[in-house]
Amino acid sequence: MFNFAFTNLQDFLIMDGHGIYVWPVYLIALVIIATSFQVTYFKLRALKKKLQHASK
Amino acid sequence: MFTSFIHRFSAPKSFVEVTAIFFPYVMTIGFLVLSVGWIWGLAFAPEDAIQGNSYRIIFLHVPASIYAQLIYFFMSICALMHLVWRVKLAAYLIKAAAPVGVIITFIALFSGSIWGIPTWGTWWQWDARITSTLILFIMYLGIITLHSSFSNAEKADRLMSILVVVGVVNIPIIKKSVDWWSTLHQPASITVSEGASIDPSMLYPLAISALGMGLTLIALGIMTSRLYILTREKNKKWVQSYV
Repeated sequence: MFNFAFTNLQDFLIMDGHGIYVWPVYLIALVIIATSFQVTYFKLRALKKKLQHASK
Repeated sequence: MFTSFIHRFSAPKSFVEVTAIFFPYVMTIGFLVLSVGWIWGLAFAPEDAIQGNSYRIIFLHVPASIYAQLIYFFMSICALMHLVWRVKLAAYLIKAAAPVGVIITFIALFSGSIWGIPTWGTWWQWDARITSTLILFIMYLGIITLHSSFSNAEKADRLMSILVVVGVVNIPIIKKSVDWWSTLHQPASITVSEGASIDPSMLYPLAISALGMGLTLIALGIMTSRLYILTREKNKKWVQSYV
């Protein structure tokens, strides 16, 4: 169950010609999720700063 | 008594304070578990006998599709709580969960779309499962747009909750679409009545990916909720003392 499913790294990247579909899907999903976290984090930080400033 | 119990524990202030404690753990564990699931699925799960390696998209597509529906289901429970018991926090959570729903439904749609190219020979088909998921995506966008089109926030909360409750009819349609209509999309491989028809070597990484994705989305949801609650209640005393 824990054997590497490919013979080498190149095989892993190409995935018998399916790598061109598999990798972009994961990459784009990762970018979308990471960007969502980042954007929300910065908005939250900016809001807290603004509120701290206003409450002084 | 039940109503007062709900209201005491659903104060936006308590939510913001409690989630501040949980957030770092949920996010870290979520990222770690998701990484384990994806690495296992991409590198160690065996190749599929029919679909070859393209099936590896499953470790992203299936969890994304599950949560696209679960988030809506969560929102509909919140909508009922808001309509029946006037729980303010419930409306805030709907507004905060909707963007997470948009993101994950988009990921479900586009990952399925790309998976369709090598498997079905087409990236889009007006098939029952795909169309009903596209409707779900539009519903999420509609909920956000409806809420932001009102200047009276309380009225917006109520109308948004009504729309969410009405739209919940789409969820069983998505779930059952592969059984009710003859679709290009395959039926479920894991069912309550018959168990899983996929091998454990693929099922375990799938389950781990789903768990990791769930925790990651909860972490994102906590962040969007905190952002929305603080924005909405910025003039309240507790927010001023909290920040």
